[in-house]
Amino acid sequence: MALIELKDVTKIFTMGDEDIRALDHVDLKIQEGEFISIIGPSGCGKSTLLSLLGLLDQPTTGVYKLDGQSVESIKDDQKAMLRNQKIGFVFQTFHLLPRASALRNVEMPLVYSANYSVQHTGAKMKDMALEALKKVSLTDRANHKPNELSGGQRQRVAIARALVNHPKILLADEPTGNLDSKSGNEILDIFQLLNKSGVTVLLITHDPKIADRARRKVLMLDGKIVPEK
Amino acid sequence: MPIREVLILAFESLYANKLRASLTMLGMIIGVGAVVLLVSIGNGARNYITKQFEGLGTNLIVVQPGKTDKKMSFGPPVGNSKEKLTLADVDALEKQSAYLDAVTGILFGAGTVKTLDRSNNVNILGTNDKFVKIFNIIVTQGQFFATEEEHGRRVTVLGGHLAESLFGEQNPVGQMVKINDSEHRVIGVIRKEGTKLGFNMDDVAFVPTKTAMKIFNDDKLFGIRARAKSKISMDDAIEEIRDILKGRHNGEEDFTIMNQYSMLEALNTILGMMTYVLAGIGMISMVVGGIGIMNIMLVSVTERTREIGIRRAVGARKRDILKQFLTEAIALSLIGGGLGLFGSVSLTYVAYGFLRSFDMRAPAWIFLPAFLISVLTGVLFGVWPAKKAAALETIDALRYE
Repeated sequence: MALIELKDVTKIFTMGDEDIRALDHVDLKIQEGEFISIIGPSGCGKSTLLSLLGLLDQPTTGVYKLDGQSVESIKDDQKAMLRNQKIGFVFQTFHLLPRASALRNVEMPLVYSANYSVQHTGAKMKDMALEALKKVSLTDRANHKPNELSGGQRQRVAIARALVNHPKILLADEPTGNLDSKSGNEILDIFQLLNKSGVTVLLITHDPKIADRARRKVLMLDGKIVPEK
Repeated sequence: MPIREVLILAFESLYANKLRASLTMLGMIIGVGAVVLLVSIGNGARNYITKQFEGLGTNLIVVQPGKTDKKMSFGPPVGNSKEKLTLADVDALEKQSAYLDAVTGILFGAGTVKTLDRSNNVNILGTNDKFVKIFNIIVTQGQFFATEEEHGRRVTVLGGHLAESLFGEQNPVGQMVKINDSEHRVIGVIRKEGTKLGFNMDDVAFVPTKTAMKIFNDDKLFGIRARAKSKISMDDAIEEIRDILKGRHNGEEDFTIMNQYSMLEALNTILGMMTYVLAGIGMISMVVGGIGIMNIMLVSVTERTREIGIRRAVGARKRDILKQFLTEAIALSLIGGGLGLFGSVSLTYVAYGFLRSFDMRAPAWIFLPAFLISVLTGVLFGVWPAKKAAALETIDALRYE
């Protein structure tokens, strides 16, 4: 059974009088443990695809099954739970809370975990957050605020936050887009390492060199997936 | 989401915007402070007046010439009413009444009391021997008027303070004083009582009723004061006075009868209304404070749209976002309200320290409503911004610039 399965998914945005077909009859299957990159020019619908996969948005038509479960019928609260427990996000602009330390940023998903599974004690939350920071080699920066960190370090904090709840899948939207090539490579190294440890990684980029780091490449054009060879 | 985390988030966010939070709280501080202060003053005024009335003498009945139309309106119609009460009315009441213990007519006016070397401007009060009984007056030196002195003899009884200022350490009894240029012999001094209902008996020279009529050159009484035999017979006594006086005034009710309870009731109604009005004014500033909170929360929601998106992306439910912003609003109103409560209560205690005679210390029961009203304001004015925050679409919130 595929971890992610899209069948004939279409997403239409209405802009004024115009309907924009961001996703046009997309079929996609991703197996557990894959490292897949989705590449395409800007406006091809790849970010929309990631929003759908991450349950931040819903398809206009079509079926999306996550871990065998069709998501169109599930309620908003349950989507929040799935985002919390199974999905980790990494964004191009990091999306860290500027006032909170790296540690507090990483702890954030754990605060909401109490809704769904166990309520961790403060000490346990801190341990888990430090463990996640260790995976991205940032333990020594735990008490720094985002503005005291470099771009690469910020993205590593964001990855630690995505990892802290041991998700099945990591969704990364242009994670190296705002970084220099050296920091970008470090981030990609981390993704590769994570993938080896069993996390499914989906990476969105417009840069073929970055897409090459993935084991599977999917090309998107005008809201459609170009058939893989 | 555990309540501990909700609270931590709220305080982290308030702490991050210290200045803004304190300015917003100021609205609540002033609002709650105003309500507590005004209620305390109203409450103090009511207690003060009740105490004054209780000190007036028991079972007191007041008859004033002239008719007031409304039953509840306080205060007799004083002045140049054509209707008058006379000494004959007093005599009739004294002879015919079954429910009255004591009756006196009173005359009242300003005058000068002089010794050889001193002169005091005081109130002159004409009355008879029953006055002591009606008003629970205690004579410390000499005696009050005896019955026979009613017939216009030139004697006087001095208020405690007046006697002191005229004669100092000397015994005033037996001395002569000039009241408006006619000689009077001092026969007694009464105990200092302080002010009762704004009327200071300590600075009064009492003279027999007919003597007062000569001094003021007037045969009309200022009013009649009487004492019912008991509290139970109060209503009967009032009816009786009405019947007797109506009979003597050609069936016309050209006078007003009051007792201390009805006066107190009327006053309390006015004071109660005043307290509500004051509290209402205070509530207006509360509402202004609440609007301040709503305003700042709306700004905060807009500013933190991206934060909301991030939180939703990592697993916050709508109700978690709602809780977070609502808690922040309640924290603002509660802390502000608490400071306002503390400030205003302290203020009433300080004021009491300076003005012992008027106890405006905040009553203990004020704490619970002040607390509840603070929470309520936070909820009332925080719920809309919080709902707005919770209703944001995650994907739009994340992309918000």
